Amino acid sequence: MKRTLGIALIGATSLACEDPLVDPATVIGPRMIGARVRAAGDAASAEPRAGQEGSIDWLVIANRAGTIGATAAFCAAERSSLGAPRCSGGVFEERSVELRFGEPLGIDFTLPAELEPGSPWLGWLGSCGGEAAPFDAAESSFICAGEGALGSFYRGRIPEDAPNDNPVLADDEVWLGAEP
Amino acid sequence: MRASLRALLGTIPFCLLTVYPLRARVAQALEPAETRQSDAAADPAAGAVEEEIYEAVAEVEAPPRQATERSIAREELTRVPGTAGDPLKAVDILPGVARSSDGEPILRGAAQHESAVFIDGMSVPVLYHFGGLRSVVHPRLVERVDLFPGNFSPRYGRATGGVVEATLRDPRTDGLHGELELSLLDSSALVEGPLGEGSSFAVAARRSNIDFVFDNFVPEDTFDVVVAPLYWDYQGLFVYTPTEQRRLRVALLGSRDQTTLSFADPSTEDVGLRGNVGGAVEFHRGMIAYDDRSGDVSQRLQVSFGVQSFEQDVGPNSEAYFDVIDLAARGEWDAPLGEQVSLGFGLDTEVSFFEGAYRGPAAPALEGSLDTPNNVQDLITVDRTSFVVLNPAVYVEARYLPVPDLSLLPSVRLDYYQTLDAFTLNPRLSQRYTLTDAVTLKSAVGWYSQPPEYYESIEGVGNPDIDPYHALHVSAGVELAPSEELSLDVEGFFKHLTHRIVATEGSAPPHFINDGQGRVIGLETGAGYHAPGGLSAQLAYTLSRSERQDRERPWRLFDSDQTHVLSVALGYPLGAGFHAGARFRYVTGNPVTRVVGAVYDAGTDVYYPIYGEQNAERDPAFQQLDLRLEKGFDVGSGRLSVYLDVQNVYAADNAEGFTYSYDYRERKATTGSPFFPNLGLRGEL
Repeated sequence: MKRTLGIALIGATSLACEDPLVDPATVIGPRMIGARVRAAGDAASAEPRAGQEGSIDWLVIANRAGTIGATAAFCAAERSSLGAPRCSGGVFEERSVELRFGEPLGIDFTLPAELEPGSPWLGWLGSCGGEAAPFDAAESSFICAGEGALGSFYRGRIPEDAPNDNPVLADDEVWLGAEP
Repeated sequence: MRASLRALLGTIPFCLLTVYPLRARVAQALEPAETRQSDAAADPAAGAVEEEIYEAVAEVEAPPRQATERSIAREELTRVPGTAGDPLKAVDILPGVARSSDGEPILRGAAQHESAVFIDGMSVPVLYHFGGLRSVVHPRLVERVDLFPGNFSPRYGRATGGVVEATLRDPRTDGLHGELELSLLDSSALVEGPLGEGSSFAVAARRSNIDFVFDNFVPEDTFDVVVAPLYWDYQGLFVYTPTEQRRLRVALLGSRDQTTLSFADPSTEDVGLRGNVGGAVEFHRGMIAYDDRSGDVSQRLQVSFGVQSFEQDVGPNSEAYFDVIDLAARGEWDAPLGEQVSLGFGLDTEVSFFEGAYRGPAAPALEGSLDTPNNVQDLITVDRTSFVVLNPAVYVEARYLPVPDLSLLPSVRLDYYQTLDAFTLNPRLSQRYTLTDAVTLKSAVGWYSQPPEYYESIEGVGNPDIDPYHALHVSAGVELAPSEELSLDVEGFFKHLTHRIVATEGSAPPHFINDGQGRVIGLETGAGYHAPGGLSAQLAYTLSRSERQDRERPWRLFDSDQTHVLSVALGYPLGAGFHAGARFRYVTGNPVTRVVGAVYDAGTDVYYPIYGEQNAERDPAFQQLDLRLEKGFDVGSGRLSVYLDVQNVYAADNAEGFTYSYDYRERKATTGSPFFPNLGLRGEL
């Protein structure tokens, strides 16, 4: 008990000594900034069911115009509570794609029918030096040596009840850079 | 009568020393306490013969209950440079103590939670304020600090590392006294004195000044993160001594730490930390102890009780609170069984009533976990719940003197853990052999067990089927005392840890399992030189290697493995009320794990680090020089002291791991304690 309580405050105090190194708001190179999943036939649904087709939109931006090659992979996930997730077996879909900076890229997939409700699955997207990077399901990472590695995952879950819907942004206003 | 000396530090008439078979050190110079005319001298017929009758009281160290005991004398406790006068922080000038960044002791390669710390026999939930800044007791109330780095007595249990015990002193009985102290860190007050025949009291309180310093002297835009720390503590003591052999002691302790961090730009922080991060830890403890050494069987009874509360908020996704009521009881009885054998029996029970709730990520293992962002998509929720942790234990220890110079200390401790429905049996054996007046050989072997932390066995957060874990301690060494002023201590040790509690892969349910091992091997060397009224010096050097294995993974270094730990502390009275001190430490850097990449979580907009081989690299070696200068003035019947305690005199940039950019592409070393001069003023009446 003593140590547990102590660590809570120590963790908090250590934060006080940290200074940000790079401003996250500054784009200095190719960078993945988000993904959105839609169930096939129900674009509002963000959670495809087992055996159902879906689509994931990846959005990659950069400080320049252009394209990069990438690998998209999908696998069932181990249940975990800490750290980056891991595949529980091999991939059930994998393909090479080409991404254009600033434009969403939709990738279709079909979730295995045997996935249990509530079980997690993972969508991966990786690029190595602008080229498609091989995905190692056992290590749950892209095989990429040196600089220029981009790796991203989206953690999905087979819905147990009614699936979650994607937010509707049509009525929202978004300002980039500064308020008008 | 022998048994009456079994107290940790007894006060007995000097004449009784002669019947005690073990060597005892007289800790106080004997002075003629009284010179009087004897009845014979008063008789003119007998002649005017004046007989000097000497009476004296000697403080005698109790016989060792373990092979190795290391202590810091009271006069040194508050003068160790770099500790801001804190006695419990001074423990790291002793061999076997590694450098700790938060004050909690790291003893013989054991993780901090594997060692136990007691204040006057009470276990306290928090030992230090604000991550190691100050211990939670007033420094001038501490009589001594004892360190048992391993192979400790069965009096102590539920720990597989070592033990540190701080003993509070008795309040003064020679009139009412007071003390006020003001420094940059905090302000404190102490009042003590007699309350009547055989009784005395002391009360003390302290509050931090750091928030005041921040609010008034640090510009608002100095830091990206604003810290508002606040701590306070209090102590109360009452001692009633109706006879020299009986003593009633009542102690009260309390402490609170409160921290709130507000980020200047929350959008740049981990999604799990956005917003405020804060927490509060508060506890109150009371203890009643009764010692009776009047008969053949001495006894010590102690009951402590207390409450503690814990609140924590970390961003929008993690919050926890727990209120705990703690009760503990200990009874010890010691009796001589002839000239060569004495026997001790003890009961040691702890019971805690928990009530609270938790929402947040899985708890990491206390050792061996790598920092990672919270998985906010898979949070654990424990609704308001209550449970009881009951841990009773019994122990028996014997002292057998087959020959006058050999002391054998066989013992056994039996613990029951009600929550786990598990027993542990811990047999232990220590021996000390006095080869000559200057040479003592010592060795020990023992089995030690420890239950999981309370949350590690809670359904939902931990594993209800988890078991206690264990350690084998083996040590052997020699103590040398070539002169009154000089002492040397060399000891080798080995430990094997088994059934360690480790996190499951990805901390997936059941989150914790008994699937870890550990091994520690090392050599401790200590030397002390204390010239009466002159130079005092303490040298400690520990060479060790501590390793762990988690599940089926390869062996790795312990998170706080420090190959070389060197500490040199000097103190010298300069005259005219000046006292100067210096401490230098050189310590191998802690192991670190390199981040070799990162992966972006598109669902939560957070990067997760990808780590290389765990603990395969090290921080640069730590080195630090601390100085302390104190000047005392006699002012009437009181005394005024001014001190300057300078931490990290030459501002060494000691690395304590790294800080990473949001995507882990860049990093910079985080430095440890900065150059910090703490100026203080203390007045005593």
